Amino acid sequence: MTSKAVTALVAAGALVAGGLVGGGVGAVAALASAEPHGPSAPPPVTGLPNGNQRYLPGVKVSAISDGWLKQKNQWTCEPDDSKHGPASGAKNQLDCTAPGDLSYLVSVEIEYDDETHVRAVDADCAPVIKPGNKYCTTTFANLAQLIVSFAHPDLQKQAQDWGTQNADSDNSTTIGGVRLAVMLDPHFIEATPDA
Amino acid sequence: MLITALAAALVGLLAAGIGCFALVTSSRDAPGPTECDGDTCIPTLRAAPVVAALKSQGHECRIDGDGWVCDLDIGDVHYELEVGITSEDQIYEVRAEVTKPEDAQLSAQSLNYLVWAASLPFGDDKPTMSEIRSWVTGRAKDNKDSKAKISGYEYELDSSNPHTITFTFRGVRS
Repeated sequence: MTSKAVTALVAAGALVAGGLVGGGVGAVAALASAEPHGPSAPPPVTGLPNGNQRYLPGVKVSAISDGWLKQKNQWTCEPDDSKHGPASGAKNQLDCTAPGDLSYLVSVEIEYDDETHVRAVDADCAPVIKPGNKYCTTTFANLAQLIVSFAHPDLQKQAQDWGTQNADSDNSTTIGGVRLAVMLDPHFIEATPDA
Repeated sequence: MLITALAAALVGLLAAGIGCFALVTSSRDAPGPTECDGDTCIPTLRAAPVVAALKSQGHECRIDGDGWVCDLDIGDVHYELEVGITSEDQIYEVRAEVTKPEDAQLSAQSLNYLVWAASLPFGDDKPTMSEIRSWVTGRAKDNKDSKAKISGYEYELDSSNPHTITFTFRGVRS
């Protein structure tokens, strides 16, 4: 073996040895210097569900209880005094009932925090009133029409038509940011904000 | 010959040292979880700013057991986020749930809610956040229970029940 070959062999060996030592030292140094890495703040909240959306858009308590039910249709309304409180978690509930023979058989409940913050409105027809009853159908359709009309007067006829056509069904829809849901047993319509 | 060998050793030492340092550093640069109180947590994010972000959107938050629970009701839809924390306020688990009427579609903001929860470990990592959004969007509407491991976290999204969509992630020991 020539001296050049020996030199090359030694150099190659030294290169490999140096590489092994250097690689080990480099890896250890990297591991030792590594810091926990990640965000310190959550992602932007844009587009998340917001508490302001808990309310039916534009709806006012008095426009339902006084304007629609009491003045136009001679209903009576009184604050709910049951212990369980409104299902929606609202602070208050107003219970309204139809006049005459339908008293406490056809009713409307308004769940609200204050005059301009209404969480849910529903109308119920008692089981003794069979499906197809015109008073129930009209009440359901008018409720749908009124609630949608506050923020979307252009959609109120669509809402009323839907209420009329679906008063005796298990069905739901969303019109103008309002979810309308009808159930047949028990028989009611509920208007809530669309989420 | 000695000088040549020393030079070769030096070259090898430097090249391999720099190479290995760069390789190991880059492999540890992914924002994976870290050890915490015997568990595995998001490294730097604490629960406090997460809770503050939800409170700023009107969600109600309270301490419950060993974590936070934040919830919000909008109509018939219930949003609930549970954040499992250590004594140092580090986050080892997040569970987000959207409860809705069976006949209602999962809304865009409900999807945003799930994506936001799933993106918590990656708020400074847009490529991974994009990957997360894609994964959550695909799984939230497929009516299945799906699992995936993403950058050291175990993800699960269960949309098999049309009434309740549940998302969970927790760090996994490597």
